[in-house]
Order: sequence, then structure tokens, then C-alpha cells
Amino acid sequence: MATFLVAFGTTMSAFWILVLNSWMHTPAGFELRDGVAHATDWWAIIFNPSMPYRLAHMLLASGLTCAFLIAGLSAWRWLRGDQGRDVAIALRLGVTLGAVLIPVQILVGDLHGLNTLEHQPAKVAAMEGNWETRGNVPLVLFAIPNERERRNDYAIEIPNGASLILKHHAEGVVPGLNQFEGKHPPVAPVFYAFRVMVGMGMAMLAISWLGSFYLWRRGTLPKLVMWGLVAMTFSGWIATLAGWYVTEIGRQPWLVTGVLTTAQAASAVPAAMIGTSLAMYLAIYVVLLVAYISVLFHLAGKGNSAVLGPVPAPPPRLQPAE
Amino acid sequence: MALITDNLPLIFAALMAVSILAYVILDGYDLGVGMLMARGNRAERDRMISTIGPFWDANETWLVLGIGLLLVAFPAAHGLILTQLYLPVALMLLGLTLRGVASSSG
Repeated sequence: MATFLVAFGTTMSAFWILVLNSWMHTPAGFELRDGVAHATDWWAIIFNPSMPYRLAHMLLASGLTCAFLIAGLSAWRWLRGDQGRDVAIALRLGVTLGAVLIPVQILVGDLHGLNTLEHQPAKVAAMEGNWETRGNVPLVLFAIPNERERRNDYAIEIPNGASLILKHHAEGVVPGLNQFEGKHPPVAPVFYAFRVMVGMGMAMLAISWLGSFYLWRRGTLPKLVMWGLVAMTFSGWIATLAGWYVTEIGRQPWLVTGVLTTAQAASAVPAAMIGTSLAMYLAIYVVLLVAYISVLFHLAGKGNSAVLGPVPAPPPRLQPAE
Repeated sequence: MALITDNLPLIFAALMAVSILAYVILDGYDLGVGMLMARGNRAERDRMISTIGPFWDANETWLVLGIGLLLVAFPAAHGLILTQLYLPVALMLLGLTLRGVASSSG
């Protein structure tokens, strides 16, 4: 019951946070009077154009983060010799959940991308590293975006790939960064973060489907797959962070797309103070993160008795009556 | 209805006051127990933690509600106050983070 309540509360929280954040990306249901936004239509504000896609994508990302965390920790315990029934159940749960969620996430990600193409084309141009508006845009697997010379260096590309994905047509015209001179995000961070996210997603697909196949056919996982799962323990976390970098950096220079730029909204707090508080936050969170991960793996390595305490001896059996 | 819409600033100010009062009373208790913990032995500390047990986390949210109301109802004041008091507020937030960690680690 308590678990359900926490899950419900967190989901409600995620909903409202994403409503607010999506409104910043695709504002709707308002009018500007003397530079102040006034709400005119609350349904349009809440269910703004990008909200459903971003909410779905985030909820699936959370599910995936959790699935791979459980799978990775269970695999770690298994490899350390703790091969009880509970570890097996947790391992199956993590692998299966991951295998089910990742194809859905890839689909939702694609739909989200198409929605972003419609409402925030500059962000898509940066994600794809597409400098000129044109058709037959290749899918850039890897490159080093050269912002000064407005081209990609050392590019490894699949011809027509981006046009096919975004326009479902090899000749499909994909917006280029040249269309948004001065009003597009810094290309490199968005470009790389997007590839980290998608790369993680592909790795999740591979390991979870491979793992599921072995579980289905053999009922157990080979050691190599176990180690693969351990390596992927924090993949959901990395992918989620990378995705947030794509979307938030991708919205720049806007704070509210088309309405308010980040520069306009910045306060007069001296940079030194902001720098100090940022440094303090980072320091504390690094310490907490290290402590958290070490405790997690330490407890996982120790097994149930260390965490739950010694199991009491069973009560003495009654002798059968003579 | 007009009675409400005509007095919205007053109503929201009152709600903020209630929220902050609730925070001061409820989380004040948690913080007080925390401050006194240094003076107890192991067993006493365990007992002290169990008195505030599941509640200290939730009591913080009254403060969050108060600040949220400030933002929603009085955005200009929110901007002004948090800009001018930036560093003290940042230190308060860090303190709250560390309090949470200390609580969990015992």
C-alpha cells in the first residue's frame, strides 16, 4: 500500500513538473499583455503540444532506469555467489521489464522527435547536426560539429537516414541551422548528448533482448550477459540525463520558446554567488553519489542476512504422539 | 464568490502564513530533536530518531508549499526576495539536504 502511494505521488509530481516544463518548450493557452503572459485557456496550458510525448518519454525512462538498476544489482549479487530465489526473481523482473519497455521507449522517442520537429525545429537541426535546410539529409552516427565553419568534421553517416526518420521520405526536407541564425542552441552539447542517449537506448535493447532470449530458452544467463547487465546498471540514469541535456540545452536561447529568452530572464545575482552555490551543490552531490553507490553495491554484495539480520531458528518440531 | 476574488492577495497571504507556521511548528520539532541528539547516548539517539521517524521528511514540504505559494501568488515578491537573499537561501537549502542525509545515515 505504502509503495503504491509513493509511486502514485511521484507520478503525479512527474505529471505536473512535465506540464510546466513542456509549457516552456511549447507554450499555449496564453496571451501577452504589456509583456506579461496571462492564462486564457487552462486545458491548452496543461495539455500543451509537447506534453503528452515528453510525459510518456520520461515515465518510460524512469521505468527503464529502475529495470536496469534492479537487473544490474541482481546480476552483481548472482555473480558474487548469492543465487537465492529472490535474486533470480529480481533478475528476471529487471531483464524482462527492460526488454518490454525499451522498444516502446524507442517508438515514443521517435514520435517525440516528430513533435519536436514541428514545434522546435532549431532543436532538431542541432540534434541532427544539420547545418543547411535540404532534402536527402544523412543520419550522422558520429561527427565533430564545427560551429565556426558550420559543418561536421570526421562524419560517419547513413545516407538519407535523417530525412527518412523525420520525414519518412529520402527527399524529405529537414530544417537546417542556417534557418535559425543567432536563435539556435549550441550545437555540440545537443549533438553529443543526443547520441549518448540513443546509444544507451540501443545498448539497452541489445542486452535486455539477449538476456530475455537466454532466460526464455535456457532459464539462466551466461556469465558474459550477467557482466553486461552489471555494466548497464546505471545506463537508464545516463540515458535520462543525456536526454534532459538534449531537451533543455536544445531549447536555448529560449527559456519559453518564442516568448522569453534565458538572457532576458536572468536575474542580477552576481555571477560569483551563483558560482559559489553551484560549486557547493556539485561538491555535496558528488560526495552523496559516491556514498550512495558504494553502499548500494556493498549491501548487494553482502546478501540478505547482512541486510535483514539473522534468520531466527525455526521453532522445534512437535514429536508425534506415541 | 466576489468576496473571494476581491480578496485574493489577502487570502493567499493568509495561506502562506498558515503554511509557514505549520512548517515552523512541525519541522521545528524535528530540528529540535536533531539538535538535542548530540547529547544522547546510542540508545537514546535511536529513540529520538524513532520519535520523528517517518515524519521529518514530510514536514519539510510545508516550507516548500510556502515558497510555492509565494511564487504563484506573489511572483514579483518571489523574484525580489530570492534575488536579494540568494546566498542565505542557498545555504539553507544545502543545510536541508545535509540534514536529510544525516537523518538517513543515523
